[in-house]
Amino acid sequence: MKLLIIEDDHEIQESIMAYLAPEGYLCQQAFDFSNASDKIESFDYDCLLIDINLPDGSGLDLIKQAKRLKKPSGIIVITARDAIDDRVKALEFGADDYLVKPFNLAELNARIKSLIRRMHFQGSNVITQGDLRIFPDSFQVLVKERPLELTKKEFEILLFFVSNAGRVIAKESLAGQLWGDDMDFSYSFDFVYAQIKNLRKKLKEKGAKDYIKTIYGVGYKFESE
Amino acid sequence: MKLLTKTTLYFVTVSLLVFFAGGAGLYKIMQNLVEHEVDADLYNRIHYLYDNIRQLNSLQNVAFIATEPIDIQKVNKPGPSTFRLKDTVLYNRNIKAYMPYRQLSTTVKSGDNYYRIEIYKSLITSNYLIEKIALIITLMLIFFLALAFFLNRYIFGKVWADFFNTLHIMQDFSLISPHKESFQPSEIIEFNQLNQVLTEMTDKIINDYETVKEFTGNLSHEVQTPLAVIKNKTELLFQESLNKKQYELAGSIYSATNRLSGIVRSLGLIARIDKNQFADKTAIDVKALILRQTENFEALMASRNIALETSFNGTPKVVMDRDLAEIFINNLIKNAVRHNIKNGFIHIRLLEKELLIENSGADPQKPTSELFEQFSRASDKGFMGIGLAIVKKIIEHYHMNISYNYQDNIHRITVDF
Repeated sequence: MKLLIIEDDHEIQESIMAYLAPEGYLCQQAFDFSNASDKIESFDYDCLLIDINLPDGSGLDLIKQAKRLKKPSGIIVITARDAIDDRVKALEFGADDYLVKPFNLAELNARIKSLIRRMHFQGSNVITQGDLRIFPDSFQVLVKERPLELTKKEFEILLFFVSNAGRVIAKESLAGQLWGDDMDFSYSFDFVYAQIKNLRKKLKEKGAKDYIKTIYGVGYKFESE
Repeated sequence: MKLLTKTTLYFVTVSLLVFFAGGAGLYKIMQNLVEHEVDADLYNRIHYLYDNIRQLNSLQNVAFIATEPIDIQKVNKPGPSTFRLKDTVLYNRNIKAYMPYRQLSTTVKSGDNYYRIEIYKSLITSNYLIEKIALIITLMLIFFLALAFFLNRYIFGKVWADFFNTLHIMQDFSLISPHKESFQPSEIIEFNQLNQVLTEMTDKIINDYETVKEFTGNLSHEVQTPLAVIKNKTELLFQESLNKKQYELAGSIYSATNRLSGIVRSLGLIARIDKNQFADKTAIDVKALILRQTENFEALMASRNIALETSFNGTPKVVMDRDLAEIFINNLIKNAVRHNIKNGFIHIRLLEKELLIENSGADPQKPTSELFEQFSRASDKGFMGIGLAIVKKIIEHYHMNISYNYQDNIHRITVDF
């Protein structure tokens, strides 16, 4: 997988690179519009991560460029919260997904994976993780080939966990995943605990491994092996 | 009490007192004058009789001028020779009634005889005169009072017109759509001074308000990037093999950053509403929006066993920005869930022109109007205080009405579209 990360803030660039590194992607960086434009022109990427606000141009034009050149890339844009117009336009120009600043890396990772899955495994979208098989399109989960009944929220949590397998995920990220960033996290934590307790119980009943490990003070970790 | 009412009241009270006292005094003076005149006439006549009777020694030779009743009687023993005045009545046979008279009496010695003289003067004419004078005085006073009353109102209107002009301008002053106020110059120095002070004040208020708005807007924008860096770096830190203590510390940093991010985001939203950056005009189907939003909270409500009851007796379409509509309904429902109790309830009732949201919950411990204020929080958890401030901002932006009541453990928010 080849990714181009277009973001002018070096610290954020580095964070994204560092978080995505274990996924084994081939990541390239662009810090400004002209550099990004050159790279899009010259290479094919599986995924473009585009910050709309660039010092020397608009990321929207990069989307147009990629579409004009008929590049096979999936496109995720990063917009400022107060730029709703940008978001709408980006989707109109052909972006596949968007993230609002400040986003968390676990979510970015999940979005990239989801996008790549959609692009590469159309119709037969399935994620295998240990003895779990997850079908994101049909909201189905098989544990050792036996179906596991989950609520919508439980499924979302499991998918988010699996997308970030092996990572420590903050409870805030999970709460944000369930209700969006606008939720007052401190209030919804109880509910996150309850959901995860149920999920663990259901997985255990079906004889799955105890994947979900509690990291005290932070959140959880979905053990990958 | 209105300014005009107050001044009129004072004016009428004082005028009535002055006029009453003045009228009474005038009446008294007139009465005295008339009485003096009557008495002087009586004295004239009695002196004439007295002198005649004494010098002529006989009543027969006295020339009577009897246009008014005179009574002269011979008395046996000498009476006082002083003159005595008194008011009395005499019976008039012609009109068969007692008539008021002024009587002057004395005793006179004529030769060896004593005579008692009583002369009278009818008070009918003078009383009549006094009555007429009193009537004229009263009429004059009423006329003057009425004149003064209307003159006062007229002058009041003239003099205070500029003041009321200023007042109306100030009543329309609002920070929702602030613009520099321009007052008309007045002929009255004090009003010009007032206008000048108000102009300076409103300019200052608008200026400060704009500055604060600008500041919050910039702050919320500028702070996002460093916040994103802290958030992301902390997430990266989580991936290192930390010990328990280090995880706790990193977790605290992450939580605090998220809260800060939420607060800044809400402030930014308020600043953006102020700046009119939500210009989209869509006819929002409120019912559909409520259904979508409540679905999002279903799991959360179920976890606390909160019963939701909705009734839709109308399908209002409200023209507003799509995102603001989402935020608006979301914040209201969030508020109802957030401040609820275990096994509580939420009732949502939608009418054609009204949305009512009721929920069970503890006493907010403060006036409900304060709950809409920024940073006013019923509890110390989270940043929900801003949620209702945002709701209020949106309400103001679209000139709708909202009220918040708390009674018998029920919170009730009513929105009029």
